[in-house]
Amino acid sequence: MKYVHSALIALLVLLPAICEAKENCPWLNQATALGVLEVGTSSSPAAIVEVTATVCDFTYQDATGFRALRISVEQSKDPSQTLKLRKTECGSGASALPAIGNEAVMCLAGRKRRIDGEEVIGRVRDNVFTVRLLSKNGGPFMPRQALEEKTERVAEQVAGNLF
Amino acid sequence: MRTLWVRGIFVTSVIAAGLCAFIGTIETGSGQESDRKEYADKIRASYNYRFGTDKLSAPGNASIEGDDFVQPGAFPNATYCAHCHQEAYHQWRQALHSNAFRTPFYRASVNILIRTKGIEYSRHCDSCHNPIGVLTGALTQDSQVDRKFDQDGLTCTTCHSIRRLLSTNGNGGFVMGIPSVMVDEKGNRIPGEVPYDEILKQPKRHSMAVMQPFYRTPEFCAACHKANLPDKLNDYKFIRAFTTYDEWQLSKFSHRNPLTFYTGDFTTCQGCHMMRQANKLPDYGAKNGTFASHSWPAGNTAVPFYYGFDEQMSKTIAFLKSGKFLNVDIFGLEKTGDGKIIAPLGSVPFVLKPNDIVEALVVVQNKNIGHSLIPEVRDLYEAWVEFTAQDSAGTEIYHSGFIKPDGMLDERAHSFTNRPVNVDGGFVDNHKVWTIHSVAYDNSVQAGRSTLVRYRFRIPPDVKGPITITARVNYRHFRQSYLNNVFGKDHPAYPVVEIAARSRLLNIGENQPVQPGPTDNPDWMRWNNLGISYLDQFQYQDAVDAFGEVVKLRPEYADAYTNIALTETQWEKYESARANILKALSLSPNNMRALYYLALLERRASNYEAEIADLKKVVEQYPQSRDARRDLGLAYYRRHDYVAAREQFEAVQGIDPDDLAAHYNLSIIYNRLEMEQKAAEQQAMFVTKKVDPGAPTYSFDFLRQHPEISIESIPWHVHTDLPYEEPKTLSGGQ
Repeated sequence: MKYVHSALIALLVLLPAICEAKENCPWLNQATALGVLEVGTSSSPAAIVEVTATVCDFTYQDATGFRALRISVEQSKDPSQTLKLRKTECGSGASALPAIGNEAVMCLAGRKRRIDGEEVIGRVRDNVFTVRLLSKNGGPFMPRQALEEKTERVAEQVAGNLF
Repeated sequence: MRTLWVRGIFVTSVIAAGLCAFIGTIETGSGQESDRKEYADKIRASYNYRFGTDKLSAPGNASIEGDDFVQPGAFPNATYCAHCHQEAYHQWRQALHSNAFRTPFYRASVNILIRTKGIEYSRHCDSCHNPIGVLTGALTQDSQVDRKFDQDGLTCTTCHSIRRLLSTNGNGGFVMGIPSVMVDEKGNRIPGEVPYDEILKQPKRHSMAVMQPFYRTPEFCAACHKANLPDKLNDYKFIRAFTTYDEWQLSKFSHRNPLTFYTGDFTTCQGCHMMRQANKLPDYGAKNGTFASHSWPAGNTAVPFYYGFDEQMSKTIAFLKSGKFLNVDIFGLEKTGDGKIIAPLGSVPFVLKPNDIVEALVVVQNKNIGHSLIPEVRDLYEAWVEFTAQDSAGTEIYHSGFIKPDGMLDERAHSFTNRPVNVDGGFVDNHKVWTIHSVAYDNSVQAGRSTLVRYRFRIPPDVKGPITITARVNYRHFRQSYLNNVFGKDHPAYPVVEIAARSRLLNIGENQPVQPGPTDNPDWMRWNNLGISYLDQFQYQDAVDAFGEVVKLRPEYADAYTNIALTETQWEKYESARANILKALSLSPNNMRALYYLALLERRASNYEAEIADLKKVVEQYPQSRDARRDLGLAYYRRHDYVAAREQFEAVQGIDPDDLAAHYNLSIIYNRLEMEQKAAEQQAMFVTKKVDPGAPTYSFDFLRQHPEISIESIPWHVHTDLPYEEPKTLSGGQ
């Protein structure tokens, strides 16, 4: 009973946010995001969208696996320094990604517990953004090359909306 | 407790997702049908019809057969086409068309529109920059259209699906068909992709689906290379944005305008921007080893620079520097005090001394561009004259048109740009075109015309001769302030390309004539171009004198007399003008340019029959001459022949649907013919398209606030660092 009660309270708290959130990611619309995640329909119950002022999370899980796209954007007074800090999260594997925002790098994300991932960290003027695409058991949906291409494509869209 | 809460969130998420899906289903109908109608029904349910339900692309003009939304998947991806058209794909990927939407330079501007007015307004821009976005209904609030097509801008199946053209209004004046790469045996279009082997078995049926004869015409380009700002966009009135198509139509290359200063071979937009070249990659579209360029080289160096498209960049630079478009002529020198012009420079002897104040007359001729220098969005592009005078040690004596350390152009440079202003008299710096209310000045040079730029400097008393003076026309895509707006100030320097240049060596002491350079115009043409420049600067006596020099050098050249007559007509010296026109016609009896100007003189002399007879001949030979038809319409109107006048003005509208005189006169003529509805329509169009009489005040505000460049708004002006000196003697009007 306690379990159901908690669930209902959480539902009441989170439902408006989730339902509204699906249309309000300012940097990428839900249909595009779910298209990236290879979700066949934007109304799939297995797709969850959460949006805050600085983060958009799109996740999808079904029998074939788990896929997630996170976009985060922060405005910085010292964007170059912020970007430099963010890049350190990439480790040594970061490679420059031309023609995305003012500047951007791409690096591996995930790489544990059968999760593959790619991440782009970039900047448009004083906005520092991160795009992270993860896939667990991606298999035919998300081969490595597709992950890279999709992450770059999303990064371009996010940067485009930030210009 | 924590586990319980986590489990609760999980269950909540699942329930919420289910509910959201349910609500989503209610909102969007049955949802996931691939059928166009169901897709369109879904889009229509939440589409923002701010501008009415009759046109889904308003305030743009893009349209599609069936007048309803189409699903993005209806457009085969460019990679599908690349299978057989590798060269086309390779070129297109780096070209402006494929990057028409995604570039920062475009996004920065259209994003401002979206943020300040709403995404629905961006249909105006995206009718050309992203027509798939418009026609799929993606440009509405909270759109749930997958925007993966954004990266391809104008993809193969946008241009190659256009089935017909609207009038040459621009703003996306086309009607697209449902994309199809093949027709069936009856000629019916088969939507979407078909297997490659089917296409290869029936290549003609492929061509029937993807090619149209009008793809090779300038009108095809006009669909997007002509634009206006409608009142729906700016809540003000119709404002002409750019008219590249009309500029071509009025150029010597169209063979539709008898009034050009020079003649040339017929050339379309495609003739310059889609030249056939040997293909490097296999492409079934190649003919005899050549392929019509899908790089569309032109002036944009910024996009290839940003994306690192080296091939497109080298093609663009080669195009700009080909040397055939512009002629730069340091035509003459004037030494202050003696009132004489030393010209044409290089052909006459002269003497220079230390301390002389010298004025260099630089004539820039738009020789072979089929449109203006510079075309289209002149508030963003930057072409200017850089003028230098250096002594023998390389020491700078005078420099105009330099790039400052912060990347900005010397504000006193002579630039071929314009200055659109808003209601506060402020420069519309961020391409916020919907705020434009006036243009403070526009120094572009129309096709075939020339402009005179004057530079005055003092030869130093201790000068080490000789002095080298150089004039070059530079081009930058984009203005530094716009690049700063897009990226902030910490961006790399964008390329500056020298399109054309000319230097002259000036000895201190005696100077003798020298051999002309390989790209120099002959002297008669140099005088002619000077005359054209003077004419455009309203210096009528100087223009007549310059054209008179052409007569001396080429007495058989009929146009020299016509040019004098044209100047004198503007100067209201009609008798002399008539004599010169008759001389031109005696040299060239079938000269329609001379005949047109004779018709204007006949009108002035009240010889209406002769006026009409002359204009009819011109129209007969040049049926697409808007000027001749407009004047013939006026001539008929004055004779109260409203039916004949109507025919002429309707023909003018067929050439240019925005012609103001046609709107005005048709509104009256239709009334006389008791066609009240049509009269009202024309009157309404005239009212919105005519210049707002209050608008110049915004220009004056701008010019008052910017004395450093206000001189550019005056046709005749001098660039100098020397202090202003009051003239010692006054002349004229005394």
